[in-house]
Amino acid sequence: MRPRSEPADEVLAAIERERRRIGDQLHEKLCQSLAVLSIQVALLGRQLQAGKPVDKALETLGEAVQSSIDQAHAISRELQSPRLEGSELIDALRELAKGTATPCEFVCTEPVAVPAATSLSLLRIAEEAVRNAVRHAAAKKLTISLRATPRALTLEIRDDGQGLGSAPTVGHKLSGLALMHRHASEIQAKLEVRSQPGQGTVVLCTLPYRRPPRQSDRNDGP
Amino acid sequence: MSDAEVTRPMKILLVENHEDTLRWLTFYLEELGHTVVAARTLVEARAALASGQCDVLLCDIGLPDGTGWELLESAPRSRRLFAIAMSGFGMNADNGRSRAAGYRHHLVKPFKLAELDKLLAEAAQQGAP
Repeated sequence: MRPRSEPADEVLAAIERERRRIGDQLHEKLCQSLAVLSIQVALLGRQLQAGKPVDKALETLGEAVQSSIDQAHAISRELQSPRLEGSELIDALRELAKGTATPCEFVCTEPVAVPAATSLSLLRIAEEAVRNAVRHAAAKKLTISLRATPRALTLEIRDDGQGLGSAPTVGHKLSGLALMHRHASEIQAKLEVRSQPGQGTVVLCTLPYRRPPRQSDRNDGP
Repeated sequence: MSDAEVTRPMKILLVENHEDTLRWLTFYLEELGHTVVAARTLVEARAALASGQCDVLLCDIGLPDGTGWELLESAPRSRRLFAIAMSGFGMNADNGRSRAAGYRHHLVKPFKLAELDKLLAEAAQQGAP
């Protein structure tokens, strides 16, 4: 019997990188906002003591509190593992595309229903691919697509960035890719990364899927 | 009477690249009666430090074009300048690096204003005639 292997160094590195990113976000955004809030509260206290009008200061304080709440909410939303039932994967991918700073199109022409655990892994793969494209490949445009044939479901993330230099489809030296491979293996999916220097990257994740037969499937092939 | 009230008016060079923090710390320090010179980068801070005698330097360590450590390491040592570092990192090594660069204190962000008030009171006492 083959011994169960320990998580690869690349995966651990990716987890550490993610922890660092979340820590940085907490420090750079939320902590700074809260520190500013404490200054505003101190100033408000001094204005009150001096008998000065505080209407404007209170209004500004209210806005700052709301901004901190929004930041905390955004970080919390990122950390949560949503339970994506039925077609909610499509909504989550659409939201991912919408929330990406780089122009990102989402394409899905028909409803797709997959189990929650599968949906979550697919969402995580898409998030990682988008993150890699935006942060490390300087992509200007991305496309996320989800398509089903009678026997397979394919998630594709395509970007026009710098590419990976080499196509590490098996060796996946980069930790982000290692994480995607791990998510794919959890749902028995096949992950393929096609990339050439300067010609963008295509991440393809394909898994078995049983779609109800339709008239148009006669032309889809196996 | 709080520490904030006992300080004499001082000229403070505030180096911070987080806009909101810079803005509100400036309001706060001015409210206490100090004069604030603001800088957002290492280059701006070097120019400000060279052009005017400041009583206090309140400097973020992480700057877009360098570090607060570099700022003091490359500046002529002044006994008059009371330098306070601000950083999100409070490891012993960071603290030691700040001291080695010439900072009297290393504030870990986000810090309590009472801590800053206390250090400003110390700076005011040091520079008092």
